[in-house]
Amino acid sequence: MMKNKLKDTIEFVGLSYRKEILKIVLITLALLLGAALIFYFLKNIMYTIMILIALLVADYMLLTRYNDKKKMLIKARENELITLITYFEVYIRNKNNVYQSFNLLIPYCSSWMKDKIETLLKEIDNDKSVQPFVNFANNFEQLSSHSLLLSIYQMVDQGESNEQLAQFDVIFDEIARNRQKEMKEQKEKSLGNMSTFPLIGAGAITVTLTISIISVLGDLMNVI
Amino acid sequence: MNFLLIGVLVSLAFAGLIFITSENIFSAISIFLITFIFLVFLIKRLLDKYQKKARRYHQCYQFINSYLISLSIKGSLSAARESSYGTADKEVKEVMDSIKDLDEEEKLSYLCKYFKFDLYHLFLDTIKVWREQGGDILIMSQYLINQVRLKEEYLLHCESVHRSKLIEFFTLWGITLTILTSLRFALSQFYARIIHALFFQVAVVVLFIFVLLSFYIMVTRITNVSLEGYKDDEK
Repeated sequence: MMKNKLKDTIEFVGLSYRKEILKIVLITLALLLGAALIFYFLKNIMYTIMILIALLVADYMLLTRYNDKKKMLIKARENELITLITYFEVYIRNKNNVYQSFNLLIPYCSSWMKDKIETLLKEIDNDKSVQPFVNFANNFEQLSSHSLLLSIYQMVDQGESNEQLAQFDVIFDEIARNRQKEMKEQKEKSLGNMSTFPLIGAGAITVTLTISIISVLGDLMNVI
Repeated sequence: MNFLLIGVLVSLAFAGLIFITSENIFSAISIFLITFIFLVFLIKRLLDKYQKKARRYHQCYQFINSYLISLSIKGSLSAARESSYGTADKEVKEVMDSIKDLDEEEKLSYLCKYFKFDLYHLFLDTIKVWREQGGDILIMSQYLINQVRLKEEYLLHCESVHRSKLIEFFTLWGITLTILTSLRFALSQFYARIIHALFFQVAVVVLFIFVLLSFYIMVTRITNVSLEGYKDDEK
C-alpha cells in the first residue's frame, strides 16, 4: 500500500520509480559503509553515530521530497490555469468564442497543459455537453477551478452574452485576487523563513564552543 | 566594477573574521577565495539576470500602457509608437531606433524579441484584432491593462519585500558573526586552548561556508519571480 503510494508519487512528478529507489539504496549503502569503515579503522563511536544520524536525515529528505515536488507541481499547474484563464479573458473579450480562445492559449501552455487543452478541444468537438469541461477541471484539485470551468461551459451553452461574461468575470476576479494575495504572501513567507539560517548559525556556534570547552575541561580533569 | 569591489571587501571581511576566530591563515585564504568566486561568479550572475528580467518587465509595462493610451487618443499606430517612444527609457529607445526602417506592425512584432513576456504577445494579438475589426482599444484592452498592472504591482511588492528581508538577513548574520568574534576575546583563556583543536577549526570553516550557502538560497529565492513567458537563460 505504502509502496504503491510512493510509486504513484514518484511517477506523478515524472521520475522513474526504479531509478529513484536505486539512488536511495546506493546512498544508504554508501553511508552505511562509511560508518562501518570509520568504526572499524578509527574506533570512534561518536563519528559513527553522526554518520548514522546523517543517514537517517538523508533518507527522510530523499523520501519526502517526492511529496513536496508533487505538491509544488499541483500548485504550479493551478497557477498556470489561472494565468491562462487571464489570457482567455482577454481573448473572449476580443470577440473570440470559447473554442477559439482555448485554441489561442496553446502557445502559452506548458507541455502538460497543452496536452490537457488539446484533449478538451477534441472532446468539445465530439461532445457538446458539460462533460469535457468537467473532465478538464478534474485535472485540478482546487474547487474554484471547477466553478471557473463550469462558468466557461455556460458561455458555450448560452452564448457569450454580456450576462454570462459578467458572471464569469465575478468568479474569475475573485480567484485572480486571491491568487495575487497568495503569491505575495508566499514571497514574504519564503524570504521570512531565511531568518532561521542565522539562528541555526548561532546555535552551531554555541554547540561548537560547548563541545570544545567540555573537551578542554576534560583534558584539565585528566591532568589533575 | 562596483560589484567586484564589494566582492573583494566582503571576501576580505570574511577572511579577517575567520582569521580572528581561528588564527589559521590557510582557512582565511581559502575563505577569501571561496567567497570571492562565489560572489563574483555565481551571485553576480544570478542578480544580473534577475535585474534584467525585472527591468524589462517595468519597461514593457510602461510601453504597453503608454502605447494603448496614446492609441486610444490618437487612433494611429505610428502616433502611438511616437508617444510611447517619448516615455521610454534609453535602453528601449535604442532598440526602437534600431528598427526605424520597419513598418509599424513589424516594429511591434520585433519588440517581442525584447519584451519576452506572454503579456506582450497578448498585447500584439489585441492590436491585431483592433486593426482588423476596429473598436475602442481601451475597452478591448481593459483586461490586458489590468493584468499588466497586477503583475507590475506584484513585482514592486517583491522588490520592497526583498529589500526589507535582505536587511533583516544581513543584520541577523552580522549579530551572529559578531558574537563568534567577540567570544574570542571574552573567553580568551579557553580560546587559547580550543583554537588549535581540529574540531573547532573545521567547525569555523563550515560555519562560514554555511553563511555563503544561506546567502545563495536567499538570492535564489529573491530571483525566483515568475514573469510568464520570460526564460532566464534568454539573452
